Amino acid sequence: MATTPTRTLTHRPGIIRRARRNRIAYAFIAPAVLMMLLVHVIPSVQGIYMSLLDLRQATLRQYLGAPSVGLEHYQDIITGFFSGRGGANIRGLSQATRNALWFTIWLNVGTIGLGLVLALLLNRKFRGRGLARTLILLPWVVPSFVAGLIWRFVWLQRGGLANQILVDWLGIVDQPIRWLLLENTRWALLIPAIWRSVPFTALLLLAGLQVIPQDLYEAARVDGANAWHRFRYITLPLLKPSLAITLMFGIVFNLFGFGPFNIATSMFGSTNHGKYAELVVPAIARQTFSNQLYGYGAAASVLVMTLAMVFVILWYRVFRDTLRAE
Amino acid sequence: MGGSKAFVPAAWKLTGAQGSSEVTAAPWFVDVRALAYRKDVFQKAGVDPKQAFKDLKSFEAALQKVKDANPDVAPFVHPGRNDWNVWQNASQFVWNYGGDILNKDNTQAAFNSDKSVDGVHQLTSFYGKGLTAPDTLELNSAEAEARFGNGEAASIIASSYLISQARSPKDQGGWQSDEARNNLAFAEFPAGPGGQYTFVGGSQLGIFNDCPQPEVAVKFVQYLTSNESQARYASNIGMLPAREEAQKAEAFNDPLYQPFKAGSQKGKAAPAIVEWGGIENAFQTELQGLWEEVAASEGEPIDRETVKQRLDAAAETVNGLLGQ
Repeated sequence: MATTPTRTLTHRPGIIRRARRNRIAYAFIAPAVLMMLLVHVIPSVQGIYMSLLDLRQATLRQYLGAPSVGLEHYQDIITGFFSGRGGANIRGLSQATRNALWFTIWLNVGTIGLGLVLALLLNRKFRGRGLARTLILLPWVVPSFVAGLIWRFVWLQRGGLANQILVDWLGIVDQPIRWLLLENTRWALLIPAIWRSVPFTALLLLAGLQVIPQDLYEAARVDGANAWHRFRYITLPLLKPSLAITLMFGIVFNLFGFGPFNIATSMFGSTNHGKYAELVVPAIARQTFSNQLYGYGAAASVLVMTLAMVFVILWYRVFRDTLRAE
Repeated sequence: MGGSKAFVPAAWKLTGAQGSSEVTAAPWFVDVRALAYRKDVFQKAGVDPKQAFKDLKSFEAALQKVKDANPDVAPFVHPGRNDWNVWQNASQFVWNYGGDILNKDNTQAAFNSDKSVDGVHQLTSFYGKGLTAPDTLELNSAEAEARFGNGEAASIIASSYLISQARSPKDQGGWQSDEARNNLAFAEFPAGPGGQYTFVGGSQLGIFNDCPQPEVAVKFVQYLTSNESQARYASNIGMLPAREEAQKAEAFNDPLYQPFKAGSQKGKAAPAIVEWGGIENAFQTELQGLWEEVAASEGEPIDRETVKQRLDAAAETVNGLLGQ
């Protein structure tokens, strides 16, 4: 005799009923969602659409009705980057992208390296630790415009502190170095940027160090682990979530953001930071708004946005387990 | 308000978009450029200022003599790439060599013409010829002026507010060098093969279309463009009044103002077209790049071809902006 399959009938509430049940939660998140739509999603969609238009000063009155150029802006930027050809803007943008990659790598190496050393030192018990923890925050609280001016006086060819140390005091070089010109501008920007970023990184890593249980170190000592082993097998793995966050901020802020824009502007005295020190997002902003090339600027921004999203996805895949464990 | 004849010609040209007879602004004050120099330093070099500033060729020859006679004073200090006067300084050389920023009908860049290139080439070659301070390329206009005020420069490109700086007491931000104070003199920007022109900037007054009280705004603009108000305001900020009659006020009787007054009659300004913002940026960006090339060619004057390439690159962008 054929049997009829039995179905377990569980009661699943409908969408409307579920929405009703969670209406307070939806009401709470509604303003945030609305704001995200207004200030993020709609402008992003509009930006993507603008990137397909020949929108510049001459066609600005037409705004979104400006003539379409399809993917021309994207093609120009991408082929310009790989071939080294194209107009002055395209070449400038390609150079700024290379600058940003170089800058981001070294900034993260310097910031995380020094930040970790400082965090480890400040995590030890010593007299005046509270004062030291406050003092290391100083570079972080100095307004970026002021920081740029201070560093300008460090780098000046004549009378600058750096050259005084290198030429007059140490005698390492014969002639003053032109820090504010040509390739040297890379270092003139990188060093202040590290100087300014280290306190925040150290603070973040210090917070990470403080939640590592001390009994792990005690057990390791009993087992005969030396200082390096304790650092390698306890501190570093347990600090990985903090390091992951620091790395993401360092890359997103500098490779896909304005980075040390204000420091550079006051230090160099111009919003054009030069061939070797201009990073990619400041270059896009300058070219877009000063040259009034809005379609081209939108395309460049969309490319940067896409790369940033790809990076964040990759970052999350790499550190997913670490962050979940946290 | 008196119309075109009442104001400095270059300022009046900026009262409306080029090619339009409609007046949409009123001139307020003008920022006229000249060359500031040290009488004592030039005298020591045996250089007659009248001859030295006659034209750009004699100016360069005078700088060489000043350099030979005064090893401790830089003959000429000018700002480099990081400044707010990058294109303004270069344009004076462009105009005086017979070039221009744009062509006559403002449809194409002209700053890359042969004459323009010659002008920019002369300015950018001073560094390689050793006629400037060794660190001149990293200075801005204010720092160049400070060098002059400290007695370390024999000549700089100057604006009229330098007069009040020189007159201010030392403890109120005035110049520190008595030699510089006592030997300050100005000369009109030297002529070139294409004529004698000076950069004239400044400010214009306008009223927005949606101004809630247009009658009151008009009265205020009329007051700001009156002789008395222009003379007082311009003398306070160290500039010249845009109204020519106001330049006869007592505040401007100081003979040091004379080259600026004369220069205002030979003034040129940026073309008043809506695309100017983008053009200025493109021109300025490549000039900044050019100053980097100058820095890279330390010890020898930059070659003309490099100047041409940079200006061509700027022209390509500008022509794109102008729809060419």
